[in-house]
Amino acid sequence: MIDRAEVVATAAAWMQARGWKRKLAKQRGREQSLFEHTLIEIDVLLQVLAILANGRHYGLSAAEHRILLAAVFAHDVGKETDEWQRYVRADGPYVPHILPELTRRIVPELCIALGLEDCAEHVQVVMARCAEFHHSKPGRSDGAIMEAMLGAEGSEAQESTDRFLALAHIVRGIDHFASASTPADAVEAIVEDPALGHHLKVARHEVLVRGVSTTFVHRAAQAAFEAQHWKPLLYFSTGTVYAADPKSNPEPPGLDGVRTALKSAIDEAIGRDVRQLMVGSPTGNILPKPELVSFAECKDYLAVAGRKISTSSFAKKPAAARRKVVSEYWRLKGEAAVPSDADVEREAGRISQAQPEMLVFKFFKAIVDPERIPTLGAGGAALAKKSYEEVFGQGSWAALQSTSTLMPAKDMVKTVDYFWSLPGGAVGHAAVKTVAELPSDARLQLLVDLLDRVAQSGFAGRQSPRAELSQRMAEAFAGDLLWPAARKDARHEAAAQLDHYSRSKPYAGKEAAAAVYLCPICNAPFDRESGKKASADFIDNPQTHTNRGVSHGSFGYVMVCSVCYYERLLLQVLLGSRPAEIITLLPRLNLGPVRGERLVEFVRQWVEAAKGQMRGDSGSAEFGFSFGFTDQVARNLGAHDPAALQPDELVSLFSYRFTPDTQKRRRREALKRLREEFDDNLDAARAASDQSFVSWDAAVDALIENRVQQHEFRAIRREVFRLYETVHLICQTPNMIFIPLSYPVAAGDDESETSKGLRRLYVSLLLSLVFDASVAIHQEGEPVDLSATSGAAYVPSLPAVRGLVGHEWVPMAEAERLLLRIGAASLLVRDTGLPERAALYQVLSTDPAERLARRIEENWRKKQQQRLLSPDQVRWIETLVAGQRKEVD
Amino acid sequence: MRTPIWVRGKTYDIDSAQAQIDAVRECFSRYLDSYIPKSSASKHGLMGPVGKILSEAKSGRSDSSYLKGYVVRVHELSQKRSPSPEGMQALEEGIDQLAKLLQDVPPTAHDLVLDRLDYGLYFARRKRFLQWLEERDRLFREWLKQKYAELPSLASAWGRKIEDWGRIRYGGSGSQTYKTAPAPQREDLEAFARHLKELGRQPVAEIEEEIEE
Repeated sequence: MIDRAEVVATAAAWMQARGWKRKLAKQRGREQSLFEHTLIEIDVLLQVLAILANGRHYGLSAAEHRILLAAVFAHDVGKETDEWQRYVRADGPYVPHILPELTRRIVPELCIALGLEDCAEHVQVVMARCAEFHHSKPGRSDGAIMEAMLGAEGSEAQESTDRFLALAHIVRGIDHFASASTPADAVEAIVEDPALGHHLKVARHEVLVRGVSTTFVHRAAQAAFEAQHWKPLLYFSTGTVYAADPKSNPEPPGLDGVRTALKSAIDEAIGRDVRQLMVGSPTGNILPKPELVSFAECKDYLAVAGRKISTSSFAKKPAAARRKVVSEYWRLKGEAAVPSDADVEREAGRISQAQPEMLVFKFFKAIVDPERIPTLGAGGAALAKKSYEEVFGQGSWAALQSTSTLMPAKDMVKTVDYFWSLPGGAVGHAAVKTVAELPSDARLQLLVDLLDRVAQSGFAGRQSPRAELSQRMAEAFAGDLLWPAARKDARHEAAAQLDHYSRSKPYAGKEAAAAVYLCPICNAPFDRESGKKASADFIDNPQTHTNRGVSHGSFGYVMVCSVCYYERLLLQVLLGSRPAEIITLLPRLNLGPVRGERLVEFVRQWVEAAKGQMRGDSGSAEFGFSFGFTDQVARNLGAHDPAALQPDELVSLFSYRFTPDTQKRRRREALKRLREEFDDNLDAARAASDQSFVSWDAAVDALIENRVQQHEFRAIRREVFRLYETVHLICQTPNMIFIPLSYPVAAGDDESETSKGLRRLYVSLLLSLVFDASVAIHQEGEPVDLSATSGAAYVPSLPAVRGLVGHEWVPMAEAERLLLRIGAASLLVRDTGLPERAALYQVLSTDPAERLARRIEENWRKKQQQRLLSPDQVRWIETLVAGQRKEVD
Repeated sequence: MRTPIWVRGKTYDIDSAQAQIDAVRECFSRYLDSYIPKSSASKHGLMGPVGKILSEAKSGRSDSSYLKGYVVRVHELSQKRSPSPEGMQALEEGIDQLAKLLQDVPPTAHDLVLDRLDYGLYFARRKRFLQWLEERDRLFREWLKQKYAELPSLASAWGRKIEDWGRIRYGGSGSQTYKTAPAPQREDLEAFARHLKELGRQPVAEIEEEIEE
């Protein structure tokens, strides 16, 4: 029994040592290194070998297994020559890559690498012939066939084979299959191939790439296929090809099967804690995601709303603003007098204290609004009204309904005053005359309890919106499946699109019953019922998503199709917030099953290790993690080969040590916070932590070294040392991996967009080389065509960066050189003394790059430093020079 | 009807001239190998008369006969002697190739070509100078090892804490290293300078160098 993972790993190590990662196998259309191409074919062969070996198909012998494996391994060995590499890069004339002499020299080496050294010489000759035959064409290979026939005479059949041609055809079929650029082409390659078409049944799923939801569609489709006993054979960013034994009569799953699997995946994803997401802006939409509401969590949402604003924020406003609000408050109360300065101070203090409660009322009003929560219905709202008035008195519901966005004077009169005037005895606080006399924390908690009870009376017996959400999302996302999918009439689709295009202009940014729309994100036509209002909570500057605002007036939101809306909602649910940027990893062309699993595992290990460092799990708070400090990364990378890095090494590349000043400052802050938390009582800190610190300094040491697991200690450690996870992972299958980032890739806030773009490019290039994948770092919603990747790394869509690089996707052949170039520039930035904002770009674009030597010396001279360039600086400048000059033969 | 004027814009690819630029630079570099700069700290000092050639060329004076005469005079004034035969040959070749290069490339690219030549040569000379310093430091350490054998003996003689041989650098009489050195160290620096002279090593103007510790 062949251990597939072991064989793939052995082959990978051999090829990496031979430098195949830096050699191209394919250039036209999509790129693929010789390493990737060969490994994918080995991977695919190993996956289907069990089917092909079956007696009902080829009935392959053990020797034939070996022959196939070695032949697939060696089939493109001729592509490693410099002449062929020049040809594939369009730098030289055509040369063939079938080089029998080279193949026959390599095969024995491969056999040793694969542990097949006991293969007899004549078996190795057959291996080489099979490898050579894969590029043959009718009429051109007669000599080879004849030679094989003659060579087979006298060979021992048990050790070798008399089926050279059959095996050679399998090698060729697998080569054609793995060279396909789409799932449909790959399926066709097998179906049309006489050697494989009758012995393998293949099927595929294909999707429209939308974003994070696409990963769920991929996973659901794969789960549905696997449930029908199909095995993944080849992963593309847009789909997967599956294989099965035709003798078992496998049937591909239908759309319903995928939809069921999709609902299950989404249920799991949105089942996480979303309480922090539920309360929106105090001055805008307080309930931005009504679909996510779970009635059982209502009390938590109300509590979060109460923490959205401070009890001191209003008191800090200018005197004139406070007087204006207090005067308005008195007017609404029916007070005719003008408040004195003392009145203003007193009332402003009350209003300031009441602000968290105002927000609790505001959120309550939103969550019992049947227009926002349709499952509540008019009946539920009526029950809530009845219950509300039983607590707060007659007319209080109408007063609540008359409030809008946060207006302190009005909210005080229409909501808070009703609450504060309740007798203490009526709400379980008989010790106070009215609720107003309660301490603010107790009062806020009481309000949350009361309003939750009122809300639950309206919710009783009704289904939470979230319960329906996964089904609606599954139905929406399933629409992205291109195959298997319900057949649609293309003419009808086009007509609908044209009709919507022609009629939708006047409705841009407006929500009207008769409106028709075109989604500004994905161009899908939709109407009012199947669209959603997307405010800035979902899309930055909504009006910029369509030029129709120019002619039809500005607007603060835009109507998007429900699929795009759910896509953004899903991302926010998964992360708990909107990501600043997203790292997307995709197969460069395609991936075999073992390598696909390895990619997922490799990325997962890396992200988990990074998160561990961000949380300070190692017991050290000296180190930070940043993608933006490209100089540190370049310094840490040094002369290491990126392609040979392990996940933990990749984490240490992005690590940096805080300056001694920062460490001292944070230590002081930790000490202060600990003393505050335990009222300057060391015994209390000892008791809480169950440790015997001799001093506060010892307590801080224990806190820094993560030796105390007590809640308050951990919270202080997390807050003082900013130990938050800012890297996340959305990874379901190898087709597409997303790593959302909480902060953008930048060395500082005041950096120019160009500098940030170059740093993004640097990180993309590094990850591409490490993971053997195409990598794009982009903002959420940035239109990057992820279904048409054609290189190692996506170049940010900034004119200066694109001008410098000259590509939209950096070709694989240029990736390492550009990585070294940006790394060298990052390392030189500080010494050049150029303004930090755009220094990185200026260093990279300095022509000639040797000028930087003078620039650095001039900078030192200005600072009265008489120094000489270091050998490192000389090397970095030489790297820039080499990167700047085109290779001219 | 007026005859229409048809214009087609064409971008000049400076990289196509890189081989010629490198050839000119190589000639000038060969010439500078025989030139003893007064100071290696400044660009002016390091580039010697070649800087003058490039400056003249930038001003539009690219006639090779003029440049040759001009630069030989500059050389004579600074070195108090004529260029060596090898130096003269390299200089002439460089000037001829430069004149041809400037004829071949469009005038709009002259500045960029001369910049590549100027800074490329400067960087190459600076790199060579740094290598020379590195070699001199290596020789100094070897000389010290022969004299003291062990690092503690050297540290004791100089009265300084020295962590490893790699941190020891030579400094001429004008350098901070020399100025801040204790008397025994100065004596060694001077003795090594005499040793270098005896070996017939090419002298280089002293610079005040500050090494990042």
